[in-house]
Amino acid sequence: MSGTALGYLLVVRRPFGISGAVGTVLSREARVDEKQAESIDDKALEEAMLAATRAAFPDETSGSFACDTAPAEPDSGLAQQLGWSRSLAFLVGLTLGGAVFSIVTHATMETVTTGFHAHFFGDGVTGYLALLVGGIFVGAGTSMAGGCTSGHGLVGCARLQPGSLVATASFFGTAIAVSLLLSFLLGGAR
Amino acid sequence: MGFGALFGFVLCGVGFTDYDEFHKMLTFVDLRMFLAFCGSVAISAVGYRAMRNIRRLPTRWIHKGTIPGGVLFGVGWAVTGACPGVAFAQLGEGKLWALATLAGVAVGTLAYQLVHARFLRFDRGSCG
Repeated sequence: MSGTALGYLLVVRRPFGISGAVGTVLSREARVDEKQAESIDDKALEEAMLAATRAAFPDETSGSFACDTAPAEPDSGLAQQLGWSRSLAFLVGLTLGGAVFSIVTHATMETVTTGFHAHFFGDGVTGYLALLVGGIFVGAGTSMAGGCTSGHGLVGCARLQPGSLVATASFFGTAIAVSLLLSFLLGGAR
Repeated sequence: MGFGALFGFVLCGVGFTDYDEFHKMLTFVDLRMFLAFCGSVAISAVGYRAMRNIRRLPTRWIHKGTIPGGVLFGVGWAVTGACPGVAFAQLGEGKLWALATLAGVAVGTLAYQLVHARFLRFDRGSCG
């Protein structure tokens, strides 16, 4: 886990985090921003190349030159957010990782919840409803706190960031309290 | 995408995608995953310390949303057994019910983005 987070930082040069990637993918602004950034980059690069070529060869000014170099990423220090398409790729990768694991371990498909979750919330519609409502809490909570288990818990705590330590303490604490409560009221793991 | 896949695989391997395992961790019945998490934080801490001169990262300060957000997330986490990353890995693993969690996460994130833009305007910072 830590290897992934560290490698990610070295290669992608951004702090590792999942809820941020989810937020970016869901944000229309991020997608539009990326498109605009791309088109501006391409245009600017093309113009710059053309100008440079004209300067270098003043006699042959009428040619149009195709360039096959990729537009360089604007290096403005360490950008906070990963772009839209790379966020999406990251999330797809997460899903694929799970798929590879299930293939390796010959896991079976599950269409309904089992085990303790089914025991607490039922394995039919109520189970799905619990997941949906819980998911809404997760989505709202992580975007409010500005991070999730990976961003705050793994990376933030490792870097001893005050905000991350408090966030991790509060979500771990609440989760433990709720789990103990469920366990106490409905008879779960003890 | 490679890192996503690696992380998804590791999450499944440790057992974070299994609600039973997760529930046992939070009720202190089985501390294995808890220790795995602490262990990886510790290893990461050493790594980040070693790399601190290579990459400057923004400081994560405590802000108005830190605790309420953490509490909201904690409730959802205990109920679904999933943080956003785990939900994706669960789906990939063939646990199709994770779609319900993901739908919830999407709704929650979008709803909060709207609420935040309209009513609350503090700087949340964010993990990439």
